[in-house]
Order: sequence, then structure tokens, then C-alpha cells
Amino acid sequence: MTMQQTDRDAALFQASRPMRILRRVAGGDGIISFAILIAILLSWQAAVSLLDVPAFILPAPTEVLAWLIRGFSAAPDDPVSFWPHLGVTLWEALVGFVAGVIVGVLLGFALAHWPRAERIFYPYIQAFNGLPKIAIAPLMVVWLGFGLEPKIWMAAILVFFPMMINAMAGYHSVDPDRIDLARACNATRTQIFFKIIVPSSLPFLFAGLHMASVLAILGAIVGEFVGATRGLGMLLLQYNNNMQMGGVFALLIVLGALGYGLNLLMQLAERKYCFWARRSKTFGH
Amino acid sequence: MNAVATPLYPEDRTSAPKTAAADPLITCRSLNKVYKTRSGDAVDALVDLNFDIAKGEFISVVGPSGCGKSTLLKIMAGLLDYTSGDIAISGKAVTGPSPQNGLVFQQPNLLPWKTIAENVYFPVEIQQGRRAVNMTLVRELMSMVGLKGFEGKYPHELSGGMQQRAAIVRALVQDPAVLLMDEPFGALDAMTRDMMNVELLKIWSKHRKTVIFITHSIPEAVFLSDRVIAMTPRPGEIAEIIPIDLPRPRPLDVVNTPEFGAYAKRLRRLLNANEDIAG
Ligand SMILES: Nc1ncnc2c1ncn2[C@@H]1O[C@H](COP(=O)(O)OP(=O)(O)OP(=O)(O)O)[C@@H](O)[C@H]1O
Ligand SMILES: [Mg+2]
Repeated sequence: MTMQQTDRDAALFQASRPMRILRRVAGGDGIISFAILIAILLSWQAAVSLLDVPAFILPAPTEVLAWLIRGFSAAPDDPVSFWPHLGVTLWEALVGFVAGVIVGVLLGFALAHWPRAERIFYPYIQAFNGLPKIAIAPLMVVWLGFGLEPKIWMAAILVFFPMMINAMAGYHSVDPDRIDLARACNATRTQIFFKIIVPSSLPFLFAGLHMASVLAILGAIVGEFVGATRGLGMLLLQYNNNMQMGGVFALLIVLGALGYGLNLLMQLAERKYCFWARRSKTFGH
Repeated sequence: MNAVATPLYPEDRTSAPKTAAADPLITCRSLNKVYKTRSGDAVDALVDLNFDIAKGEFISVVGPSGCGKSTLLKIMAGLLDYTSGDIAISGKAVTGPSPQNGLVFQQPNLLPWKTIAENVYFPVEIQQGRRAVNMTLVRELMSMVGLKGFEGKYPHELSGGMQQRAAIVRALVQDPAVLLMDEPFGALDAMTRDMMNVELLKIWSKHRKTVIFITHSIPEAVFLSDRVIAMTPRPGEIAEIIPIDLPRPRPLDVVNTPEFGAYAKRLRRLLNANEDIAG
């Protein structure tokens, strides 16, 4: 009896194991998403070759793939190589990201800590946040030239706002009981800040970081659009002007992957440092 | 930390004090608290409170919602300023938080990013640094309330009752003379609550703390206390202080005795009567 039972359990276990792994990899509905992607690519390819669409309007997926392969396999000093441009854009986005996060979080906490300052500066923050910040990119070029600085500034400015606003929201959302707990232990103001307020705000900060990771790349690209000699945005604009749509599509894919990768990095960091927060407490991605 | 001074009562707590001792641990004289609201109005929260609490007493405070129980507790904890009057613990006027008080909140109020052990020694970490933490003591306290083996778990991995037990040992970790508890079991189901009450009495008699226990529950107050402070609806005044003369240790089924029933009835009448006046 028991033997049979065990055998059956083992068989069940073996049958379900590959399914479970598949499910974990594909995330259940992932299979459907993947099937849709394949369907789109196939019909795209078919449409392009059947309807004879000119390559300067819509390149075939195979052509885009060829551009991607060429971009990544060519030697870095080859003009078609993506590598040096990728490095430049990534650097601009990264520096802007770090600067924007640091300044945004510090200022957000400071404003939330001093309500008077918050009241005084709030109208300015609202007004500037309402401004489509991309519109200041040309100004940045006039002020800072065609080097990396205007791109870094654009990335930093775009990153700054969600970080500041989330830091303020995080500070204000701290449960007063937690502060009382620390005060009851005779905690100093510094201790209350670092041991209660900062960790309590982490879910909000991560919500900001998710947005910021995408905005940093956006800022760098916009900066390059306005005037640059290097970078993925510059390259994209150049291919676009030359009607080399295969290159444009290939770069769009690279940029998408870049944003996705940065966001994934944020998610990993969140899972490591903010594992305790309920999912529903975060927002913004 | 601060060693417990000579106990006022013999080891076996068979008899409870019926009135305040001549040399009280906590004295409260004409205590008033007026809140200033944002719109500029004044809200009388506490009006002319007078009471003494002896060392080692278990005192409950009952009263309708909004009568100022939490306000009173926060004032005793040194977290809130009072408007006028005097309140002193161990002869020293309360001017701010002190490690001689252990505080337990209505919610467990554990820090979710810290393990249970880290939460328990949080007060020590804050005041003396992580180096001063006595892990043996932490483990001992945790096993006392049945949390042995949960040192490395995070709060969200524990049930509500277990979290509240962790919160209680956190309040005990610095060996405070006074335990201030604001409806600590209000969020628990009836069965867990009974269990926690029994456990609390065990801790109290073992460690000889003075306990100020706020509750909405009349049976809970009668079951636990040496004396019950009954408060009137807002503005909070003391309606009556009722000594509970039931023998200790009290088994759970003491609630079925006529004496227990009489105390509960008396308190309920008192609170209802005041409710009527207010309404
Ligand atoms: N910060 C505050 N500002 C103004 N009024 C307050 C403030 N805190 C409390 N009050 C008022 O003081 C009164 C007493 O509040 P308190 O929280 O002490 O009541 P409570 O007896 O603990 O009520 P509950 O049983 O519902 O917890 C209430 O009427 C409340 O509205
Ligand atoms: Mg209360």
C-alpha cells in the first residue's frame, strides 16, 4: 500500500517538475506573450516581403537583426559599431542618475523635515515639475556646449523630480508610532532619521528609482538629439536622416533593452533591501 | 540595566494592595492636558487627574474611546507634554522619555526590516550601541514568551499574537521599572487574547514590574488588575478607582466566579452611567 503510494507520488513529482520549471521561466502567461511576439515578427516579415515595402519605411525583422549583429560584432573603431556610443550614453545616463538620485533624495528629505521650507518652495517645485523638462534641452546646449555635460544635466534633472517627490512622500508616510518607539528609547534626531525614517521611506524611494532608471536614459538621449558627436541618440538621429531604418530599429531595440536592464537592476536591489515591504505599498512602474 | 530595588511584596503575590501605598512609585496631581488643534481650538483631553501607583501594582485604565487614555500613557512615557499639574515617577518629575519605562503599543509596531531578535534589542542598540547587546538575555526573554527559534525571522513571518509577544519582550529588554501598555491586545482574537493575558500576568509576577495597562475590555481589566481606573467620556476625568480584590494567581476561569461578575458589572454600570451623562 505505502509502497504504491510512494511510487505514485514520485511519478507525480517527476511529471510536474519540468512543468513547474517551465512555468517559472515563462511566468505562466509568459508563453502567450512570447507566442504573440513570434506572431508579430512573422507577419511583419511576411508583410514586408509580400507587399514590397521599401526598406526606408519599414525594414524587415531580418534586416534589423543584421544591423544588430553588425553593430555589436564590428570592431569598436568601426563607424557602424554600437559599442563606443553605447558607452557614452550609458555613462551620461549613469552619472545623471546618481547625481539626480542623491540631490533629489537629500532635498526631498530636507523639505519634508522643515515644513516651512516645504511651504515656501512647494509652488516652485510644482511649477517646475509641470514643465515638460525635455523642452530645456536646447538651453542646456547653449549653456554647456556639445560635450557630455548637457546630457548628464538632462538625465539628472529628469531623475531629480520623482526622487525628490518620493522622498518627501516617504518621509511624511512614516508611522508616528515608529517615531514614538525611537523617542521612547531616547533616540537622537540622527538616530531617528537613519534608523526609522530612511528605512521606512525605502518603498517610496524604490518607486522613485524605478521611474528614475528609465528617465535617466531618456534624458541622455534627448540631450544627444539636441546636439552631440557621440552616443546612441546621436547615432539614431544620423541613421534616421540617412533613411537607414534598419539601424534606427536596431538602436530602438538596444535602448529598450538598456532601460529594461536598468529597471531590472532596480528590481533586484528592491528585492534585496526592501523585501519586507508589501507590494501594494509601492507604485510608479 | 537598573536592578530592581527591594520588592514591596513577598514572592508569592497572593494579596494585592487595595489602596495606594504610602510611598508611591508614580504620583499624579491635578494633571491637565489641553490639545491645541490646527484650527486654533483647544480640546480638553485630561481634566484634573489625581492618583498614586505603588511599586509593583498592576493598574488598568478603562474608558470610552477618545477619553484620553492614550494621552495619559504618552504623558507618563514622557512622549507628550502636559498642560498643568504634576506627574512624577520614582520621585522625579516626568520631563522626557526614560529607559525606566517600557512601552507597548496597540499595534506590535515592530520594524519590518529587522529580524525579531534585532527588534527585541532595538532599545539597547539605540541607547548603548549594538556592541552592548546581550544576546543571551534576548534569547532568554524570547523563549520566555515562546518565541524560541524565531530570532532570525522577520515580523511579517509571524502571527499577530507572536508579533505582540515580541513587542512585549522588546519593552522588557532594558529591565524597566514600569511597563506602559496601550491596548496591547486590542487587535488579537479572543482566544489569543486570553492566552496573552495569562502570559502577561506570569511576566508581571516574575519580573515584578509596575504595569499601566490601557484597555477597552472590562473583563480584561478586572482579570489583570490590582486596581482599575475608570475614566469618564471626553473630557477625560477619573470616574472612580476600583480595587479588584480577587486572589492571585488568577486562573482563567476566575471570570466565571460571582465576585468577578460583580466587579465587571460595577465597572460597566459606571462607564454606562457616564456615557448617558455625556450623551
Ligand atoms: N494631536 C492631537 N491634537 C488634537 N487633539 C487630539 C490629539 N490627540 C488626541 N486628541 C484628542 O484628545 C482626546 C483623547 O485622545 P486619546 O487618543 O488619548 O483617546 P483614547 O482614550 O486613547 O481613545 P481610544 O480608546 O479610541 O484610543 C480625543 O478626543 C482626541 O480627539
Ligand atoms: Mg488610544
